[in-house]
Amino acid sequence: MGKIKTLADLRKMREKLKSETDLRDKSEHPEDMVQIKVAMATCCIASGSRETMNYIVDELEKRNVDAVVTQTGCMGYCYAEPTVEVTVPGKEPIVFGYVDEKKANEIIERYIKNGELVEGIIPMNYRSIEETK
Amino acid sequence: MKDLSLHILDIVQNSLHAGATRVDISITEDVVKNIFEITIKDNGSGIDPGNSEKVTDPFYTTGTKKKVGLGLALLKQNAEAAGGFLKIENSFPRGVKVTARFQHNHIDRQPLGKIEETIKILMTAINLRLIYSHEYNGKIFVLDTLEIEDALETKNLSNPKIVKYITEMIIENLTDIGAY
Ligand code: FES
Repeated sequence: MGKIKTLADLRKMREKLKSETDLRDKSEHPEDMVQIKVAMATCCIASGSRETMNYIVDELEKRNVDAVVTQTGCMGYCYAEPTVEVTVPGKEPIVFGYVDEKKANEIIERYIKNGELVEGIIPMNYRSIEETK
Repeated sequence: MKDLSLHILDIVQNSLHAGATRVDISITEDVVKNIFEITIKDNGSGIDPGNSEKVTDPFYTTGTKKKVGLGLALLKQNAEAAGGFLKIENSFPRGVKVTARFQHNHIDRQPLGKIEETIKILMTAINLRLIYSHEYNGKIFVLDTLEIEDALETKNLSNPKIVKYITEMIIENLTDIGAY
């Protein structure tokens, strides 16, 4: 298969995509899946959140981990950007700070896949101004 | 921001916060006329007229956490430093249109950067029709997520495999028109 360049090329890929991927709308049952939210406000973007998010999406795919990755606004932990919130089904959401590719790799391998704790967790008792109101 | 594709991602976040369901990103490069122009148009809630001055104030915010003004202020500063300007207007019938103009060959014009990485992030936005068009010296490439949804018969374009194809498609076409 050559490079995908036109809508017609995409159309040709349709059956293949259907057979090898699950095109169900994941957002319908988000509670059964690992959910990852990446903060994507101005300062986050400037500090590399786009690269972090795309890295996470690509790696989850390569490593066959089913998860929903979405972007969100500022989570209030601006001092630790890029920040990422991970919710494993049945567990409390955890926010990680300073997530570069190395940290993201650790989160996927150790926390998501093996359930081990990794460093870089932002304590949840630290509430942002908005939430305490 | 290191490059213009990051600015675009940032400005579109304002559109998403404003509830936009359609965003048009257009980039026009005209080397002869020495123009590099980005317009971002959405159908969100728009800027309330009394605030139109304030949106490029770096300290302007529409909530305790949302620093709407910062991103626009940064873009304005960069556009002006590159011999251009930033214009923000309400668009008809609703929404905002942001235009950032630069001199194409200006030494302080930031590079575009990886626009496909920006589109990739935006494809995870739910219920968003994104139309990205890029014109380079008269040659044009248009990507419309609605057309892609139809071609693939799915609404779920955030699927990583699909995103990969689309990234590829963008790079191929931008190379083709000369923009990459
Ligand atoms: S602006 Fe990035 S986390 Fe607050």
